[in-house]
Amino acid sequence: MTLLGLFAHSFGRIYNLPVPFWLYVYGAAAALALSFVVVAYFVSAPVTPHAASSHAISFAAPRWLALCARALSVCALGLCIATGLFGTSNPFANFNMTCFWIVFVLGCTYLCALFGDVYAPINPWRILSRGDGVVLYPERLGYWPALALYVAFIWIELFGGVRPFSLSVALFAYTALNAVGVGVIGARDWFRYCEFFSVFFRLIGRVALLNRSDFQIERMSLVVFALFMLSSTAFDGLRDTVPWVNLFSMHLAPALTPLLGTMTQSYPAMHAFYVGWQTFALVVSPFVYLGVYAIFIAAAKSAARSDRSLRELMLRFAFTLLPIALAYNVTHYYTLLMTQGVKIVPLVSDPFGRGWNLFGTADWLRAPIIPNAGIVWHVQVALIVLGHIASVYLAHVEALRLFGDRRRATLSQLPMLGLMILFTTIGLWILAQPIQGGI
Amino acid sequence: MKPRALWFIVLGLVVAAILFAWLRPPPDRAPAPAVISQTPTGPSVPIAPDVPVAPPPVASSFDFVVRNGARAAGPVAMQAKEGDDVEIKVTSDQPDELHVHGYDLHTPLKANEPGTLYFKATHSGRFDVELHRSGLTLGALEIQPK
Repeated sequence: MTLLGLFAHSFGRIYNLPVPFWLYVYGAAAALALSFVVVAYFVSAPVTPHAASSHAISFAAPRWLALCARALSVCALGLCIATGLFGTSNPFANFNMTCFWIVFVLGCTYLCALFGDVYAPINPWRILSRGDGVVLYPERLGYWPALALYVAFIWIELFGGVRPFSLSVALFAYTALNAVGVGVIGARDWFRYCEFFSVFFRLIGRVALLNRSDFQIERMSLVVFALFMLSSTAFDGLRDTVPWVNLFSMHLAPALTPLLGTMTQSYPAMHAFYVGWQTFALVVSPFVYLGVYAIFIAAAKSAARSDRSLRELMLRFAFTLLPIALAYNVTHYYTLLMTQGVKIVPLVSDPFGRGWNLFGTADWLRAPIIPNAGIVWHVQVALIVLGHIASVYLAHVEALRLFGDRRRATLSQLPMLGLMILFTTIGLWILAQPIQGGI
Repeated sequence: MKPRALWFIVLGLVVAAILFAWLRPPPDRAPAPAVISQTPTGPSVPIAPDVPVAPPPVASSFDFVVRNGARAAGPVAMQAKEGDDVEIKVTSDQPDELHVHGYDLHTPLKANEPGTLYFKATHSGRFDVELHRSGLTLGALEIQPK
């Protein structure tokens, strides 16, 4: 058994090959060159726009559709819990793994990125738990509870080795937690500050292509939350790469050998240390990003000679990093929607994995669906570059709003450009790394 | 949309296209040397007529030996190109099952008898090759796209 072999992916297999070097160079070069096209666009603007033109299209779902979606969402949660408890333990044959990890976690993210926060009205926990609570939520806690839950969620995803049964237990526990949370502080504050899916999808909806919300990032804890969206996906990509694995096996493990004995002698101790080390890296990652972000925002502040506080600027610019975060997420996981997400069609007919065929779809889409690696590479790089352009554009619009005149806004954007190139290149670098199967 | 914004979108696309054309590696002409080597200049060696015709060579072949649930011999990385024929041969000291993910190919392994999976690499990507019963990951088969 290999050390890394213990940590299977949360669920679903990713068949992507590392992006070839020339394409990685192309992505970085295109991001840089196109950033200047965006800058040129703003510099040559005839008048300074005081507010971004509103090109939002708002959707109003018909009442019957909203009701159906809400009923479906609660039923899906119930079915996910039931199939894990009473169905097969094979993760690929049980409905709940595909429904939760692929359809809900990934699918809902991409829907929110397109249409805005579609999750809030169909949030099953919100439908199930109502109430005003008995205690006033201490405002100074901010979004830290949601961030803590988000970190726990990513930890479970990466290291939890989740099986259908444990997923059921986790979903049941989370449902109970929601009921208690709403009972104590009330639905309004619970779903605003603590329920992390609500916070996550609200942030994604903030930068949606259509139906953009005017939700503001008003707390530093929410900035850290947004940065964790970047750093956790970066970490997930990084931890499989050869340099990261070598860092532990060649540098850290030999340093520990005098304490614990060699890898073979002290496997349990070394393994416990390895999990601890990975957890530490995951928890620290958003704060490393926060430090880097603060440095670049301070540079932007001095470039624009702004009187606004560093804190205010950090809050105002944080959402402009979300397209890069979203591009990270999509490039890493979108192939799962094609390879595993479509399997929800046969699984609906046989949710417990007992050979049922409720809707006659149990035999559909049996053949493996594997997207061509060459196409995947090009899509990955194109999405990263697009996310980068969107971030640069949003940041420039925000700078015009904050600093008033065009010259100061442009000057402030030069350090910001550096920050975004840095984050984008990190994303590309991870995609281009060779992948290590185990130690 | 304002015409000025459209112009900049066109400019961006042109910049992206020029960079792409510039950085893209030329397609490799692999078959060319093979043709040259098949035209001998000297007198050809006569081939004995009785020799049976050998089976066509396998493009990519990977042999593994597994002992006590660990890899005793075999390559760390398996590389092939889309369209190649791939052969994965495993000899294990315990009965097991060989599985190539993605392609979803299985073959049972008897103790100390080589088991072989032979297939055409029609899909590009990175596919784990595992022994199911012992849970051993033999490695990943990396198939580069054409």
